Amino acid sequence: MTTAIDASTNPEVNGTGRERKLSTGSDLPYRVLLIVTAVLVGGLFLAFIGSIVQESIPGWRTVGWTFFTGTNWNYGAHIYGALPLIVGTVLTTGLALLLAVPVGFGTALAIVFLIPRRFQLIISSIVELLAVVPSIIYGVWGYLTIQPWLDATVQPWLASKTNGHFPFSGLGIGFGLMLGSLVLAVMILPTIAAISRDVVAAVPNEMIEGALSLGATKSQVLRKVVVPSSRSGLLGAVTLGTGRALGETIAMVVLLGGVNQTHPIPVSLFGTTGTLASEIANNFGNLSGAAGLGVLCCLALVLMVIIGLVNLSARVIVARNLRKFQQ
Amino acid sequence: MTVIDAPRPTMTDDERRALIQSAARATYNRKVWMSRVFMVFLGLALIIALIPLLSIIRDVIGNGWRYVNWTFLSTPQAAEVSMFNQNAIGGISNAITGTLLIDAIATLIAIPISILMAISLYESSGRIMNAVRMYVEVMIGLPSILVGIFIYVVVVTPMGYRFTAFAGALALAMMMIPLMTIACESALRAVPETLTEAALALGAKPSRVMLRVVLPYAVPRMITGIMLSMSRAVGETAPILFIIGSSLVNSWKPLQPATSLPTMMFNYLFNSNYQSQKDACWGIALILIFAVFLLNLASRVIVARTQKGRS
Repeated sequence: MTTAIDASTNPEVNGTGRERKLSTGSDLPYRVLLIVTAVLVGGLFLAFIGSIVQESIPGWRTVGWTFFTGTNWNYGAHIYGALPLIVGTVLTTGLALLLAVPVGFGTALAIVFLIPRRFQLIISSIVELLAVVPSIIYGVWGYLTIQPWLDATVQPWLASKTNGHFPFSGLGIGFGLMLGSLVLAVMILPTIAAISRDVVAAVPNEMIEGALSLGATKSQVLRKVVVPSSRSGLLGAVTLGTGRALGETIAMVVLLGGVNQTHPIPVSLFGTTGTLASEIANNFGNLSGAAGLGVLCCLALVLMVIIGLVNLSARVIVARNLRKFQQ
Repeated sequence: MTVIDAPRPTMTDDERRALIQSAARATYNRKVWMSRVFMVFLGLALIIALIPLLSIIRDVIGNGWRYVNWTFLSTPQAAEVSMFNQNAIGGISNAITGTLLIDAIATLIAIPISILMAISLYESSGRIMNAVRMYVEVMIGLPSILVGIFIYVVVVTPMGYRFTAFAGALALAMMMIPLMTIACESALRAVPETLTEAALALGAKPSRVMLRVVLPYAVPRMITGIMLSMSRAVGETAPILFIIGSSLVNSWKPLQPATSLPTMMFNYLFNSNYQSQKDACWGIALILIFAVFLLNLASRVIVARTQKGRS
């Protein structure tokens, strides 16, 4: 896993500054083969986006702008307002990030700068292995271990402490926003922690020793030297976690419980809800209605745009940071 | 600061020194104390992170180990589970067969395409190829369910809504290609320039340099990347859930429906009414995690070996 991610976040491997170019005049078949491959693979991915756009056209014809304003989603009854799903997606991802980012950064810093050297390898290996655990297994864990616990212990306690006020109103059944974002946080935590660990471990020793020799304490070194100098890498870690959270499908199908028809837009952490990805999967098995597939492709397109925007803004921020750094 | 700026004239030098020292010591102590608090927070973060992560491992192993026996692994799932024979759920051999079949086809499709694609990214520079590379990287981050929709539209529908293992393999191959391409490309870039330059200086054609010098050197790292991509694909559920159908028997035929371990888990967990099937998810999870970890650890061993040999 780390190989691929290293490559995508490391500007050196991205090879923008490549000087060597092979002269391939005498080597035509080789050259042709490579160009054909690149065109085919590029074409495949263009076809991928193109076909989803094309399939979504009947969907847009059916739903129009009410897609973004409609406040109820009930696929079986052909009520296609995607606002609850967009809110559900943003809420689950936002809550998961809120939990996972501080803990993930803290874990990364603790692994590199706090714990004794001989435990470092073991703990970072555990974290890296957990980053490749399939999401369905987090789903099973959430369903069979966490849901009963939330249902029997945590949610009744929270409800009694707050007298059922916001954000703990309604009947807690275990499933819903709380369970979904909790498990989502655990799911993206290893990704964020593993990449952040690589990033903070790559901070040059001279910088750290320089700060220490000027009399800075350990926490000052971390807060004022290590974190600022690895800011863009940390942002990359968060972006990757965000992408994974936004697109997470199977675990969310299993844990969120589907859109609540009384409160389609969740008003409580106990409420059930759905995300763009989870509702695609929820309804793909029994397509219905004239534009059944089309409407799901509309959801897919919205999801793709949201993830694209997240990636793009991360790239812009990184580029801006780099420019500031160079000036 | 005020101590230094306005010393009281009545003080002796010793008194003044003691005052400055105590002020400095107070500042120093405060900073050390704050530093300790910060480090305690870091330690807490590590503990908070490890609790759920270790809990998953403990639950999967603790609840799953009793399913790991030859009967569970070698019999297919029960065709029908009813109220009266809830615990006779059979085994998972149909899902193991399906997973092996789908992942093998997917890997066989993805490897040549990814290696060629990696070579073409490696050999060319310029704006277009940078755009293509960025494109491949973006593909890594796209949600897997979208790949499922794509294959459903371009493969399953034209084949007359036939759910096949082959369609699932195509979807997984599409998940693997971006990962493998980027991994193989960084393997190629790790080959020392001096080697390629030496070969080129001897007058070898670029294709020959690639085949005889670059590829042999890069193969171990490429295998690592390929295994890591496979470990990613093995557990993918969303892209194949709606395109492979299901099979109750051990079917090795690519053009027939198949069941894989992740889709079986999803169905047992979400669509079953029987606790016995939900609990069996732990067993399937243990086997799946074992496969994923094995691929990962093996790739790590390969990396460690080659690095040792070359340093």
